Amino acid sequence: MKPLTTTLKYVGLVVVLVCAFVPIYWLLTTSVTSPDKIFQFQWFPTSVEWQNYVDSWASAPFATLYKNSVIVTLLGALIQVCVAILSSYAFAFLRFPAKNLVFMLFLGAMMVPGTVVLMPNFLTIAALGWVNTYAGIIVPGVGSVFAMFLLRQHMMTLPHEVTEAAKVDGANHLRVLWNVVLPMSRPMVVTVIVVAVVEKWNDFVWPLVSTSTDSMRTLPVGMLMIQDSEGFTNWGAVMASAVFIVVPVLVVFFIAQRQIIAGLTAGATKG
Amino acid sequence: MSGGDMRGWSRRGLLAAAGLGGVAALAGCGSGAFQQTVGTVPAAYRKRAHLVFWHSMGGANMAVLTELTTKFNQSQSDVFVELQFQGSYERTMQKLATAIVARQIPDLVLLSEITWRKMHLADALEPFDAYFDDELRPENYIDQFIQEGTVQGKLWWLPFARSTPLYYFNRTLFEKAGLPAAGPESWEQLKQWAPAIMRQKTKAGHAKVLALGSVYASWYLQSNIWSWGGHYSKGLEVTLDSPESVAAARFMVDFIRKDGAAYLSAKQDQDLANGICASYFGSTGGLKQAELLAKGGKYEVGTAFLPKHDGNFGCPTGGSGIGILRYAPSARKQAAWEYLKFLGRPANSAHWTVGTGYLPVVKAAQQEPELVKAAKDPNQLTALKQLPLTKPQDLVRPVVSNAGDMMDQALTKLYSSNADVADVFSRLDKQLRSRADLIRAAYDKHYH
Repeated sequence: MKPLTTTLKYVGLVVVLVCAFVPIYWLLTTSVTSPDKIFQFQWFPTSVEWQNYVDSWASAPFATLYKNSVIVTLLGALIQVCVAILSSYAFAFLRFPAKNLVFMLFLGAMMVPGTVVLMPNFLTIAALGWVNTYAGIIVPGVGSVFAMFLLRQHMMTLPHEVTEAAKVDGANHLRVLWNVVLPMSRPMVVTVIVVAVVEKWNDFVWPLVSTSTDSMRTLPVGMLMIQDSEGFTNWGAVMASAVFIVVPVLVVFFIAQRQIIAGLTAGATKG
Repeated sequence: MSGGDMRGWSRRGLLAAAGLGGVAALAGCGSGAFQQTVGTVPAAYRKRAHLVFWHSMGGANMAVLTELTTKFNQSQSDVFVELQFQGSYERTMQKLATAIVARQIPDLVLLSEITWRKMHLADALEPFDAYFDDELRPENYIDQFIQEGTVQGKLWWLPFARSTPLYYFNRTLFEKAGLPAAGPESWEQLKQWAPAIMRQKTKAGHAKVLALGSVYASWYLQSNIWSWGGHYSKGLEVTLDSPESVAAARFMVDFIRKDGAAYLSAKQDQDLANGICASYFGSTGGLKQAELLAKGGKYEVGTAFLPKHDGNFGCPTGGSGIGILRYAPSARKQAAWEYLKFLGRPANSAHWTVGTGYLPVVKAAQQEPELVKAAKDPNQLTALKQLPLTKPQDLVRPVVSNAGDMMDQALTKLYSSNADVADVFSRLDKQLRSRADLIRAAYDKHYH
């Protein structure tokens, strides 16, 4: 490779890296800056103010918020991914009446913005007595058409011979799914899991609407408790709370990054 | 039909449907009894009347509200008030509207100067008049706050976290420019001072005279509109395209375009701290933040009354107050009143003011030692002195659905482009009129 092309490539990489890194760096430095210096731009903080983390932790019930976020994220993502796998298998491999019509209806649901269904969803969970419960937070979000669509498209690319061979060997649908289709879809499933986890972890509006008490709030809602709309907001403490929220997601990403990248780029080279 | 017409029609149609549907539903056309929304009661308070209070106070303000509420819960043995934080005023209102339709409601709710009007139009609020007794009378409160919450002779909204706009300026910079440390008295004076201010060197090079925000721009401009003899509206009749209103906005636009002395800013208080501007308009609630920034930036921040024009002064009130839900059972409403009486005690009102920066809503609070001590800060004193001169804003902004946002957007456009003031105001006038028509029936029923 020519040295000039290599240099240009590296310059490009550095630019992308800076764009991705600067906001996180800013978040971290702001979280250790004292309130009176927060709006004076400086690349390197002159002093480190851990008090923001102490204040932040004291301003909202973080232990409860963590517990709720973990429960809502794990259960929500688990159920969502299971539903997506089963439904995508059905759309990819089963034959049933009006399959395409049902599929189009599902895709149509994707076009409806979430805010439109906020009120009907709330009325439903209120009628079921689910306001301020885990079921109320989790159940309305278990069906993800996007996840189903992504998996279905991937499953359609799998060679039919393999599934047919398994059936000839006497495997039923669940066995074909578990032993043949899923192992071949691993990167895509991991992608769907990661997207679901991030979505549930960061979800703000629905947990705010479906819960009322601090004992049922999740982390993103808790972050709001530290802010003050009209008067004084300690942005250092707000940034510290953002660090509390971001760190677990970053850890998950680092653990699963190889799979995620493989999943996202799978099919990119296919014609 | 042009695209623009179509958009206009569909927006109106949608609004009409949403507005009528919402108000009808809120007015109680549904079925089934109202229940209290879910809450948590600590074991020690199980045998008491349980009240749920939805509020929007985050950060340091939440701590003060929690402190006062805990004090109330410990001060007697009949009532337990549970605070439930619901996010911003707007979110709280949306959630309240949904909760009413679902018939699972709180008992008390904190509503802004905009959102309480919507809830009043939807017949969701209980009038306070029958609850007042010797311990707490309407006269205990600052008059204009009580007037603002009163419609057709009944009080629907009890003052609590009230604020007004203030003029904040970099006193150090003003003094360096040889200008009085008290700030400008009028717009004409500020305009005259502009060249001297802009000549001063700052961290950012040179500072502009005035930073204007887009958030709540129409709340701040209300002052100018009144000083120029105009109104946003008289009742529900929009008067934005009157010569006075247009002239008021044109002055501001000229201050930006011709004098180059003002500009549209995303964060005015930070611009002051960074030497980008020499002054801005902010809420009284932002005083603590302004003083903290000044300490960090090593300059002195000053506050002054909003500037006059031709000797005329105008300043609108803002902030929030408390409403009791009409649908709550009478025993809980009475219990809620006990809590409000507690918050209305002069010592508690003073403590709230000192802890948050909101204005004292109870007259006697200003004699409380805690507030007397805090009012020694001249900046805090400015807000207290300006208070008797304030009045509730023109009704179109708080009553008409989404009016505040539309007005802020139009002003943002004026502050940041070369758009013509008369054009923008006449278009906005038309839009607001058609929106006002959508709620006219409900308005006439409640206000006439």
